[in-house]
Amino acid sequence: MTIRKRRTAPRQSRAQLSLVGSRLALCCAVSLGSASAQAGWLDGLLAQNQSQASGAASKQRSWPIHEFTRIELVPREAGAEPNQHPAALQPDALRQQLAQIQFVGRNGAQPLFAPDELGELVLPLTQALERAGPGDDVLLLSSARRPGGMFLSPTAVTVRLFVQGGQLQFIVHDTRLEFYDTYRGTHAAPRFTYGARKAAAGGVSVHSASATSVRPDWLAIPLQATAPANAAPPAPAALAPVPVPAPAVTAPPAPPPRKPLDAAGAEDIERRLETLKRLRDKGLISEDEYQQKRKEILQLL
Amino acid sequence: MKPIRQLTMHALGLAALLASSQAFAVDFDGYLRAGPGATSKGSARACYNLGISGGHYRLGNECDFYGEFGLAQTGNADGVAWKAKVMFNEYNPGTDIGKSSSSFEQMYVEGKGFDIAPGTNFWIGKRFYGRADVHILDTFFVRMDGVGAGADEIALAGGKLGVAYFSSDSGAGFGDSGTGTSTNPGARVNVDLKEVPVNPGGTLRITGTYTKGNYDNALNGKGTSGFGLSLQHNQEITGIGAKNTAWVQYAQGSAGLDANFGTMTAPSSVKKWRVVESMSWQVGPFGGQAVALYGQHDKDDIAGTAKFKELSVGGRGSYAITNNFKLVAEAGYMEKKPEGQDTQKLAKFTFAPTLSTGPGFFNRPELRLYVTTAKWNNAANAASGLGGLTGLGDGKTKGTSYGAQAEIWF
Repeated sequence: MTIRKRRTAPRQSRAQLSLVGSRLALCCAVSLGSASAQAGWLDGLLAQNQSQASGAASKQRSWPIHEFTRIELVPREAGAEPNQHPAALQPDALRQQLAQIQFVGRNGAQPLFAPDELGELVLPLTQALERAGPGDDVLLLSSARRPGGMFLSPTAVTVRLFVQGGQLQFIVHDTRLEFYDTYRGTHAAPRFTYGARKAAAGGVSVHSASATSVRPDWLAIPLQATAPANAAPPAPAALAPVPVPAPAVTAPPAPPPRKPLDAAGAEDIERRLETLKRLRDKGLISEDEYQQKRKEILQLL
Repeated sequence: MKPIRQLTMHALGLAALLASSQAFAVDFDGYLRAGPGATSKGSARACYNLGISGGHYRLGNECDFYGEFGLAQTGNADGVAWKAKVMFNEYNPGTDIGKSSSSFEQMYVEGKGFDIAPGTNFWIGKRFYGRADVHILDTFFVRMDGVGAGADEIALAGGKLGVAYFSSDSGAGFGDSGTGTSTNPGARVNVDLKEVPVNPGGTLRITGTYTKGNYDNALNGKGTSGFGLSLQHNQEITGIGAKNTAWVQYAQGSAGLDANFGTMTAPSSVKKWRVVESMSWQVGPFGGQAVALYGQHDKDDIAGTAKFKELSVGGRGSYAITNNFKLVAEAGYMEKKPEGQDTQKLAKFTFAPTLSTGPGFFNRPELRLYVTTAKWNNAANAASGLGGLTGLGDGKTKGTSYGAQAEIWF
């Protein structure tokens, strides 16, 4: 039997459809009147609140946010030192830190996360770090339709996070992974790869004015800027953050002087320049685009 | 009561507002294809299909309009991750702007993290389920869609196990042929073990199906039981960005090869099988997908169909001239050989200059112009009835269609 692809289901009765349609419209209307980054139009139907956490939640190891946006606790990488977990971070300060992270992409330097994207990520991320043990890493997968538009295919950011040396270690593997079209075309579940301590992700370059660059793909974010102002974290003594006056917690720290580029960073820039030249030579980008991108990459030196 | 279409459009409008707002709390996904086309003066647009289980080659060969629009939200409560999803669609079997139909294709809720089984995902509702396909063909090789309930993501043998129960009020099940007349109900159980690592870069999926037609009446006959087994192997081929998928599938009685309901009156003596091999790749600007299928279906005296063998071989390739402009071509050949009858044959070729947002084979959206030429034999015309293979009834054994089509998934 031939089956028309993406063809519709058997027709339902009009009464059934009307009921469902009315509920859908009502939920949407309620949501429009009280929209927030955390509460959606099905919250009323489900009577759930994302911020609720108790009981079984203490064993929670996964925080699904959207189909391809989630935060997970996984066993830390083999051979790695135990992490300084659990770690209590202040969500607003963490949001400010993550908002400052930029990467060099096709359109030059740009923020790794959009503001509304961070609005959904920060709370579950702090919960994950609070519930992580020394043997856990935190994996972050965040997909969004960038730069916006409901009919654009989403791209993904993949990051491994853990606390070490009194800093939040942030290792990026993908800054804008284009996975969605292949997923839709093949129906094969996409496999995501996260940053790793031992091997740098090729072609990734992230930086932040308030974090230290360990590698082109690896930032170390100072915990002083992300820990609660007046609550010691339930963590080993080594993790105890330096108390910070309340106003200072939400203010990003002054940017440190730019670190001299290390060998890996120089190689990364050289590789980018070669890639750019190849794209121009193949006629895939114009001379103007080539010169513009070249200038942006050289600014990283 | 408001017309269905009106409610659907209201929901779509609100969905658009939600999905485009700053707070991206709702997942929005979907698919659509549409565009004008023509075959010859004074007739409807023709498409070329032989009616075998592998479906037809799609490029420049879709005479319909179709769109589906889904909304979903994921939430968390006390460690339980919830997801609720609805999806509605719009379908028109022809080129005209009228006569389209709307329907809610999916309405289900699922949850994972319950204290009694924290690693298991439970779901109930109406949904697409476990689909697997070859994009260039108009069919699914696994499609457990239906109204049901189940549990999945159960860790087993390094993979994930799912068990689901479906029931149908119309024996055709969830899909194209359903009439909603509730005259021949059936039940189905699927056991699906997937993502079992069996070799480097390779995984195996084993899907079992049991069906039972729960009816016995003069109008529709007697429902029968059925059994099916599908083996699917997925292989990543690094270096050339390729993925290979192969199926070996068997079904008998009222079970379908795609792990759904088949012909609900088919006795257990009606057996069918098929072997499918497909590959997709992207090497620099050259991307593509190819498929080969061979199968056999036994005679069904109740349905009045003869034993037949089927064959399908084809592929689609794309070559990116620039980042946004691709040359796409698709060729396909099909055969159907009913026992004691002439072999039906059909070959088609399509050329489609295409605009897209990227150079990849699967990059969408695509805006394409196409010309399709097809050739078939008299046996194919005769098997399709008075209208012949194209439905135009002109007795011809070759034809050319042309048109424009947009396709996007999101």
